[in-house]
Amino acid sequence: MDKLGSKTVIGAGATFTGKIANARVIEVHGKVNADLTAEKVTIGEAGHFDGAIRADLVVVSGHYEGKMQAGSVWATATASISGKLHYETLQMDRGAALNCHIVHNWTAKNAVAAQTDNNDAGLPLATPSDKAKNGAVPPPPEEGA
Amino acid sequence: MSAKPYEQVTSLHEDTTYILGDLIMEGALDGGDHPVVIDGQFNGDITATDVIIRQQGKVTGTVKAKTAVINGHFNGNLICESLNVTATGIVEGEVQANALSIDLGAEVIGSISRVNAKSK
Repeated sequence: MDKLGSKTVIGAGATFTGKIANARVIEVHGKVNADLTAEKVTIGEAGHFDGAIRADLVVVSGHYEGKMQAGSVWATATASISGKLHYETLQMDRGAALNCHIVHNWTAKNAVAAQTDNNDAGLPLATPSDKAKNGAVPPPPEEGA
Repeated sequence: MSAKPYEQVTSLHEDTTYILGDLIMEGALDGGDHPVVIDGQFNGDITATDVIIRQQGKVTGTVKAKTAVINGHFNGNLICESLNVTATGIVEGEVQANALSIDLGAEVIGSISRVNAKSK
């Protein structure tokens, strides 16, 4: 029992469709079609994950398709990612195939904004009024000097 | 003999599917030609060669397997060649098995019948 800990593994050749909740560490070597929230997700070389992932760390060696929101993402040489990727830190090995929309969430605040934006599949772009405030129209320098 | 499939999978193999910890899974799981070990909670259908529900495991739904070992809680339809319900096992529902062993202390509530030769 202790040997296994609380790691969940979807074995090679296995197929799962549905929902996964309350996961901590999960490894995917098979095919999974699910939405998932976890601490650490590993998609093995033979793994195939389709669906949303929200995790602190995601290591991708296989195929991923969907919306991923992760603190750290490591795409190894055999990785192939499509869909959407929100990350704080990203490592990409030579040979990794990223064919997706990539957004960098530097702060937790942005991450939250990005999450809410996910519903309409939009980017956390500044609104036109923000742009006017933040430099699209530069404020006159040395005002009142 | 009945404890064998349990022992075979106590170390992590890449091929085996493990659902462990406080995890809750809902849906359909096909383990292919490999075993499935459940120590978490699973609602839905499971198909695999060996299905092992460990002591903390809780499965609700339909399980189809060659061998099933139940140390935990199962509720639903269970169709397998050989079934072992250990002392800590609880099975509720409809069981179809050709070889059946129920340990002293186990709880089996429901109907038990043989697998129809035609249906797999």
